[in-house]
Amino acid sequence: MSERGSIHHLKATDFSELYPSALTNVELRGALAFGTKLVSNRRDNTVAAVDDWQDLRDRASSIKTDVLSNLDQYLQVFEQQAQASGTHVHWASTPAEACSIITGLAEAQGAKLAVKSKSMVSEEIGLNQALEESGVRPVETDLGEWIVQIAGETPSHIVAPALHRSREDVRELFARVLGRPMPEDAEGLTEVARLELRQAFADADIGISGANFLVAETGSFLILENEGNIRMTTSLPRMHIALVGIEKVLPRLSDLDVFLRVIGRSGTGQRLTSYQTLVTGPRRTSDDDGPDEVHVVLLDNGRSSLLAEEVTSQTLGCIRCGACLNTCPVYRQIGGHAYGSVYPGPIGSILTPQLAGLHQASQLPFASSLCGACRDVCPVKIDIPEVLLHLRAKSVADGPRVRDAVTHQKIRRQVGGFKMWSWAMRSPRRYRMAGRVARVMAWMATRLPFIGRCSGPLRGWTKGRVLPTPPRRSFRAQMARRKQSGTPGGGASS
Amino acid sequence: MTTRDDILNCIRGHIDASGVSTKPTEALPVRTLVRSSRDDMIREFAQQLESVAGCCHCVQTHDEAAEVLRTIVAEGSGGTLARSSEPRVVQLVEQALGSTEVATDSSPREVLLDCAVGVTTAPLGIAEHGTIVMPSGDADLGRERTRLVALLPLAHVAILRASDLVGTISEALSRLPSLGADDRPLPPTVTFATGPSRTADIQQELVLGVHGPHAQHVILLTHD
Amino acid sequence: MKIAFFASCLIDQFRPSAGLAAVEVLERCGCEVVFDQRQTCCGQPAFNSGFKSEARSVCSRAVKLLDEQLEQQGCEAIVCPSGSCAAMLHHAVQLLGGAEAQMAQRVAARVYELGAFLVDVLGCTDLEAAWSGRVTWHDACHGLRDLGIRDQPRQLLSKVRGLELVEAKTCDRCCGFGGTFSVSMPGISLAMADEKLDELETLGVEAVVSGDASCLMQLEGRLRERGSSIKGLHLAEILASRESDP
Repeated sequence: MSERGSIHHLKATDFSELYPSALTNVELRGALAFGTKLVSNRRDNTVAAVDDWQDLRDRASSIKTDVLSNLDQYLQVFEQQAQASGTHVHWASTPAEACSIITGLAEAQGAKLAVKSKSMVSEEIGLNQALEESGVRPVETDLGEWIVQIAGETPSHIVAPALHRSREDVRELFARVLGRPMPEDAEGLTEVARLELRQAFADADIGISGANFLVAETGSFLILENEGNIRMTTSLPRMHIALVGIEKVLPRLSDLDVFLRVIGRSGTGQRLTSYQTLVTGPRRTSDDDGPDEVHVVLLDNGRSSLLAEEVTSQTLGCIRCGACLNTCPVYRQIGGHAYGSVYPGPIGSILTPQLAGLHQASQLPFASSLCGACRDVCPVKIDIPEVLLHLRAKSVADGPRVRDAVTHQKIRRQVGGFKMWSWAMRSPRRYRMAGRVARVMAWMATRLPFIGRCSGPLRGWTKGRVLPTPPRRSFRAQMARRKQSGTPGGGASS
Repeated sequence: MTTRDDILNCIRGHIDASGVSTKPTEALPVRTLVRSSRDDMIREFAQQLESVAGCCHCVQTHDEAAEVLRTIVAEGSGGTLARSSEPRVVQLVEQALGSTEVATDSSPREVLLDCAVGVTTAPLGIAEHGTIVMPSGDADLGRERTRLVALLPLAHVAILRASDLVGTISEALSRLPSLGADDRPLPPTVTFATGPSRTADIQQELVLGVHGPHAQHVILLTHD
Repeated sequence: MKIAFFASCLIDQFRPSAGLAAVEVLERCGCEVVFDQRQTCCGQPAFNSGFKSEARSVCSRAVKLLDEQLEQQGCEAIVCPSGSCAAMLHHAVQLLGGAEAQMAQRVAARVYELGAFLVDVLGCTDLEAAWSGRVTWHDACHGLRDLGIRDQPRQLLSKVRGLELVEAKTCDRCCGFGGTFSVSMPGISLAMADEKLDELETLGVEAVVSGDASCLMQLEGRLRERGSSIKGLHLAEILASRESDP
């Protein structure tokens, strides 16, 4: 049985080393603050204009629940219908299998050049590297993805791959890579990219894309975009390959209405993205345009194991709109690269450890204040904080084998503390004593700063924060006095 | 066991283990607009298309349509015009440009890549978004080849009849099977296009015109 | 109305003024306030850190005690001057199993955050409080997103004599506390606080008011580190205040 998957270039175990450098990168934080605020404000405004937004979310969520609890059936219907339309359907358990299916298809075509439109799954499996190794040059054609590709980076956002870069950054990058002076404005820079990529479209042997939705009923898949690169990718090359996670299937064509109404608004604050391309097989007559062959590669890579529990299963409802990234106060401070995974932000913090195994990314579920902003914006109502808590509890309960080194150290240090804490909290007498000790400690630390610097939680707190001066008497002590002096409110037995 | 069976068994095994069972959802009725008279839809379509930087030209007669096309071509950079072979398109282009040489849907793609304007029809329009819907072509069914002519030139001009307007995406989706070919319910590709191509990948700054058309014109025949 | 008061350990040990103010406000509204000296913590710190069994043992104790107050001592509601502890008592339903889950259900059905209780249950918005100065409201995450508390505190504050409420754009952004998160990833936690405080300092306010003592500890701690004169005040502290001079 295929169980755990893997994510290409995963560095999530370095989270504790990656995020501090993000925090001190002034330029990055400027670009992040600007980009995330702008997009989430746009999202809030377009969503506010929809009267039945909560009904839409309910509907989207119930369709996803239906799909996930009958996934094997919907996939089989999809396969049957897709094949009937002439689409080749391939199944891959692992990234290696998916890569070899695709490189095999490329080889059979004698392909030298592949144009790609943005696909997070392709990042997940490291497809570009696999293509290069088999002699096919992959060219990313989404502007943001192309920027990231020529910079030798990975995307820092699932919708806006180059969100971490300022315009000036991009200008310098283009000038360096293309070896000529570049225009200052975004329009000029976009035109440079367009002309560079136009030749690639004309020359490409294969087009590789992801897909936002598979439609079981008709065996179709739908791809959304704004730039037109997907239309090019799916129209010009002889062969089109769509690489898709198994969870992306929807029961009916009519379900697209609900998802199209939520995804653009959530992702970019657009009522609808510029283009939707619905593919149902290759061209059927020789005088039509479009690919001779259409292939869909269905990837599991650990996804099916998430179905084992209701709490984890909801993760697969994600439609990759990116709304949770833009609203997340943690993502807004550190950006996508700090997460060390192709899937950053709140959704990444639950998806990465579940796909690749908790031990590969056990710090990520702790990289959240559990504020719940992600749950509020999620168009399919994934309770991300609930899953974060579930994964935290797993880290604690399942022992060292599910933790990376940093998490292991952290949890080991906390075990004694929480045991003592729970022992103290189970008796009012012990609780009172513990409270007194805590107040005395805090009082001493406010007088003698070095105390704050030595012990665990106090040390974390006093880095950049002043401790409150603790009160002499606790609330309960004052309430007890109040009761003795006959004022009401003293309450029941002590 | 094949990978396929392996994955499907894995899925079923895990679903069974979770104890979750959900009854399949039912399809919702087709969603329509509250105000859906032809005039309402024309107004809505035009307004929505303009709101995403597209241009909607409402015309009553074919003469007016030809005049609009002439203006668009004149305002363009003067490059070649490409047209599909749909009779309505052929006629309109002839009326507008006379005997000027044009590229067609069967011209080589290198030619189409350099064209300034591409003209096709759109058999379906969606009022709530200002969207045009274009199925891929099929000679046997006499359906025009729109794919490259609507994509490669710098500007795309679509001719749309008001009678082909529907209110919502939901209605458009329900009409797609009628665009189907032979024994299959859907044509190989259906493109939904709303305004010109755009990006905001450089510092979230909106730029119109990337890989797709820089301008999207719709000539809306209000009396057809 | 007879109510059980759940003080929360943080207020009990570190901010008794807020607890006393809450009791005073409730009594002013005609409530009989019962504080059970046996209560300790709701279990939230362990629950949020993944220490489920430790959380369960502490939480189940709190739930039993509160249920007893409801079922045997005639209390009609539980009021807590902290949104996150009230939210934790909601989570208890899932955390505790078996017979305890039923108890937790009863408790969850009757537990209210202070501001929500005053407005939604008692229908009191004007508490004849007076506090002169300019303040802004910080929506504590769990109160806002788990319990849906947004308008109630604003209604209450708008009736306070002499008080001017200024809204911050970042009012519903997390302060960065997040329990152990604040000490295990202090850098991110502080950056989150700073995003709010940068705006707060431009508003010309004397205080930031909130319904959660933990947010106040985070915001005040950071404000003092930054050398700011803005104070952190609990909603109850403002509502209990009668003098026009703070």
